[in-house]
Amino acid sequence: MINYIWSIILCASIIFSFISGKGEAMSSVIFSSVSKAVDISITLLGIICFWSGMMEIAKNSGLTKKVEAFLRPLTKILFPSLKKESKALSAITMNITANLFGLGNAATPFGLIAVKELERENGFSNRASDAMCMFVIINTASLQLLPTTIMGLRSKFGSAYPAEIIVPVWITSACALLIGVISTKILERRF
Amino acid sequence: MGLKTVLSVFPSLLALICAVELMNESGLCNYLSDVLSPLFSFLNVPKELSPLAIIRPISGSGSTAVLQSLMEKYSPDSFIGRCASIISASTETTFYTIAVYFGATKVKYMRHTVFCALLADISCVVIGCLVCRLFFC
Repeated sequence: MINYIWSIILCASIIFSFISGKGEAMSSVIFSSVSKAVDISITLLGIICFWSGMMEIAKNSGLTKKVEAFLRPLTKILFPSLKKESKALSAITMNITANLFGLGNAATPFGLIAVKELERENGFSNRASDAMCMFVIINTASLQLLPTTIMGLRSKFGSAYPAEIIVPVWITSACALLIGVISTKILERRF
Repeated sequence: MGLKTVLSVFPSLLALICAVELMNESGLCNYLSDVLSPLFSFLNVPKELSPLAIIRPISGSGSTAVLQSLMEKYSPDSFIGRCASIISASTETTFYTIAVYFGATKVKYMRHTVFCALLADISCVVIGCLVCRLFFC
């Protein structure tokens, strides 16, 4: 399905660029975006290797088990199909924790481990399981205690109170997440 | 394991970045935000924010650029500046997240994921403006 989305966006952009007379700029954009994708992938490789190691340390030191137990009431509601000893559950827990503390680049490797585990538990089917959908939806909404990047931008542009947005951000992201989760719970029975 | 994962994610990452850059460069993004601005004004969202609302789920760097230009133009402590900050901080780059996570798997049929994620994004824009009014007006 995502392939259809990309194809539609690509075709629409190319047609639109001809209408607006920017056709020749398109090929250079394709080149620059390809090198950007390679750049991002190489960075991602380093990050994944680093944080996979950190996850092993957290697991062996018993930290993962503690956080897992703490978040269990929440993960039980969100992922009812996962058993307590599921490997995916510990990766999901670490992913949620990393997101909460604003460690975006740590959240991605944990999330990738989680999604691969979920795929294994789903028998490598080409149809996403309920747990996979829920997990991705949670990650598309941002759960962050301190929006440091935005606060930094605000102070750069001369805000008197860069941090005044924190509570509104909590309320907004919590509401949006709730809407995402509830709609997922309703729709997973119908699709 | 790291290398394998990156290799499996790469095709969808490439498609995503190409599509996003082309969309920005061709002016399709600006066109979309013009077309959709009546919808946003119906939802009580100022029309200055519609470019941000469109690009936020698609491109992280693109939305940072839009946010910066909004802050420069209206100051971060204006209503627009505050709304823009709240919206940017409250949601993620939805399509990037979906592409990376599902790209790592063999999943073809994603069921309700895209719909629910976009629903959450739209409600984030609407609720963000609402909360901003409650807090600062």
